Amino acid sequence: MNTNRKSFPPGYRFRLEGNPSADVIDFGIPSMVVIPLKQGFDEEVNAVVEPGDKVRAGQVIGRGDQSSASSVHASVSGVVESVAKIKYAGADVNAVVIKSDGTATWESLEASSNNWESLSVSQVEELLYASGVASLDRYGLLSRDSEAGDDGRHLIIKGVEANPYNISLTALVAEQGLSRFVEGLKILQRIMPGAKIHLAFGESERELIKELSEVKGDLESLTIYTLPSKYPLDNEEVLVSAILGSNATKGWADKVVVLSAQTVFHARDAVVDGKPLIERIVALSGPGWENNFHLRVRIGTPLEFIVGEYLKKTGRQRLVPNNLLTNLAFTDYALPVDCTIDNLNAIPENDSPTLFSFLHPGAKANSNSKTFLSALRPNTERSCDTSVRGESGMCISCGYCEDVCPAGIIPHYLDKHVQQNIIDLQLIRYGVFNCVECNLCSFVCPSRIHLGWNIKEAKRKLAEDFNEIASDAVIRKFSHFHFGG
Amino acid sequence: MYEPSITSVFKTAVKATKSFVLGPGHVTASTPHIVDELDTRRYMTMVVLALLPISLGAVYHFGWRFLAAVFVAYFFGGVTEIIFAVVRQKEFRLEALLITGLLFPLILPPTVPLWIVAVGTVFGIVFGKEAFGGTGRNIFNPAIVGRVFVTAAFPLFMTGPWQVPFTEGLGGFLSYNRIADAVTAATPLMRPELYSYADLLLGRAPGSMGETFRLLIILSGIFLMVVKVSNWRIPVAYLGSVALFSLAGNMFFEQFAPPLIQLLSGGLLLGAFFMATDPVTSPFTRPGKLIYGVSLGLLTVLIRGLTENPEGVMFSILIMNAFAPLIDSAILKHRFKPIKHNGVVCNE
Repeated sequence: MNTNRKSFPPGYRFRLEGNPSADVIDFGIPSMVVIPLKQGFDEEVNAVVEPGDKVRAGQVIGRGDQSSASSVHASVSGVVESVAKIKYAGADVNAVVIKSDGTATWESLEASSNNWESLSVSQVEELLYASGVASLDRYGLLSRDSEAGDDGRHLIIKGVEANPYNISLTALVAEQGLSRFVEGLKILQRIMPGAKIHLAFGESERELIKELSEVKGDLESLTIYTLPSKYPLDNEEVLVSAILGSNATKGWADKVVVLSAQTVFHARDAVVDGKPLIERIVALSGPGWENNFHLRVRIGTPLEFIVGEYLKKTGRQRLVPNNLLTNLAFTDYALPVDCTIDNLNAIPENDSPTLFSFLHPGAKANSNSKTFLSALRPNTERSCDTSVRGESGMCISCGYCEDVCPAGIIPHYLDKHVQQNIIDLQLIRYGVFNCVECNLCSFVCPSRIHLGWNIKEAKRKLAEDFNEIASDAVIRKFSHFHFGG
Repeated sequence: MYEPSITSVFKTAVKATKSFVLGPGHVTASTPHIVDELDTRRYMTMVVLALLPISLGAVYHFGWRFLAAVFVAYFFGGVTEIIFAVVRQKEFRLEALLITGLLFPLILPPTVPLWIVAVGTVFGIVFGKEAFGGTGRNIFNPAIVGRVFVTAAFPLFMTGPWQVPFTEGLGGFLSYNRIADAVTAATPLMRPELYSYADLLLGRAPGSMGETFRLLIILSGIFLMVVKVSNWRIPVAYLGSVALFSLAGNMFFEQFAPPLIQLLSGGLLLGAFFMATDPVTSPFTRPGKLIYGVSLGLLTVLIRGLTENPEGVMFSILIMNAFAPLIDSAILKHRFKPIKHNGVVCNE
């Protein structure tokens, strides 16, 4: 097994207060669940239950007709209360509400087997589809181009802790066992024979890497990478080019599957235990929670149940899933925990003006600049709230956005064009389509300019106006990436 | 119709002060939900902080009159900015003025009449900054525009006689100024043989109020680079190229002073660390910063050696300010190649 250290000069290392401890607490069986009939990137499926029906946890409650969308399962046993539209992921989606009977058992999938190695490839694939695991993560488990063949394909497992807050890989492994993780990898290797497996871990995972090399068995194609915990390395496009290099990544979507570490465990549980996708571990991160830890929670558990139990009662908090720089905040706590959530970030709303804030020593200031005392204390946890802390103004060309940009473009230069409404082919030349929309430029801007929004808007307009040229530029974007390594 | 009035002037001033002291006091609208704690107020305050020791040095060497000049610059600069803000119905931001109003007196001779400080500040802000649309849109450094204007308009006041600084005991901390017992001397750029390197470093040689205490300027300049408010590329390229070109020039022609004299005289260090590095008026591309610095060095050595002006820093910076956008555009064209689509270059 090879271990590979990769450097990443741009980006920003977040070290915020309120990182979750490695403890995993079982939230138990909620009194009711809300299950949208749409999972991840999949299309919406049709309900196959009616109000009043008795269901068991693990039973299929939604199924696509012609579409290849994964089935949706009841996550608790009980009685279907309603099937109605809710506002979910920016659309009206049918959701099944189940009143739970409080029992924890679930119905296992047919054809699963402790002796999974005796199953055929298509049986394994069938189990992954039937369990709902196939629709996890950004592009899913099996987004394979059947014509591409098996060789030259890559499977990348994201274990790098690069977001402002992260679900802890250590916690996942400690809770579920390293051998299950390895078993999950073997199952994935089975359905992608010939594919190279790359594990992208954080720098601090030395123990885990050592243990892994002892138990990994016959996974010969496995390579482990240690990457700095710098945002936005969690971004698929950035990660792919960091690991495979810019040349290997042209048209990568056909050849590369990127999965989160939790998905590996889900895949293992689906095939070996026949466990459908009914629960998930989420990290309660940020100073807005009473305590920070991981929660094992049934999918469909309304946010308000978790918020009511664990959110700080004093002050207002903002609740944001996964990534504080790119995900929209929750406004409706009646919405459920779904299979896209790894992190529930709660951060205090702070609208109090601060006297002479620009002169504060800033012992805990969260800043990419070196103008605060915190720059001298690299291991101190930085404070985290929603205060804007500065008026917006004109760009002063300080260059901070260029310093941190993972795509090697000059955000403020593009932004000036957009603000003057000069959105033309010049922008494509200057790499607007290299942007991975990580919003780090907006984060560091001392003039509080929304560079990220503006560049995203320019991309959208350009894609409309110059469709063909734009798609050409998108395909070749990786040739602009610069990585040391 | 909107009528600018005394009340609106007053309101603008109060609002600017309040937002400067208290900050905005609201939350992020959407993504990103958290932002870097650095804002332009702190960014520019760092420059002012770095200039403070140099200003104290100016008081020590030339008396409290320096602070009177700073006050005049802030007052007239503030009034000018407020008038522009009211007429344009835009917000007035204090932080850029805090730098310009401090930097401008620092580059003036100690005998400068206070009315020239006022005229220079107003001219610099109007024609160096507001004429282009304010901070962020200006092409030239406002303090330098003001300095060049008053030098051209009032040469008698601006080119001598040069006072010898206070150097004993508490020096200027106990005096308003030195006019009464005016002792004047040639500046090191005119007669380098008169001064030792220690004189040049510790501010014992005559010159503009803020340019003589060179040891402090170097330390403050390094501070700004360490906190990454100024970029190291410009000062390093600028000073390096002055050393290199003066070495080459000095080998063949005696009108070029040797490198160390060049580096430690005139306004070079103050200009290299605090004015050439102004991010708004210098190139933003990294190679562009190097080209800019090297060109500044060449121009400075040429002006100092070949013209009747003993000093060439401010002219060099003014000239290169104008070239900054051109340098950037050339670098960008080199770095980002046009994209070919179906064999046709479509964004040349």
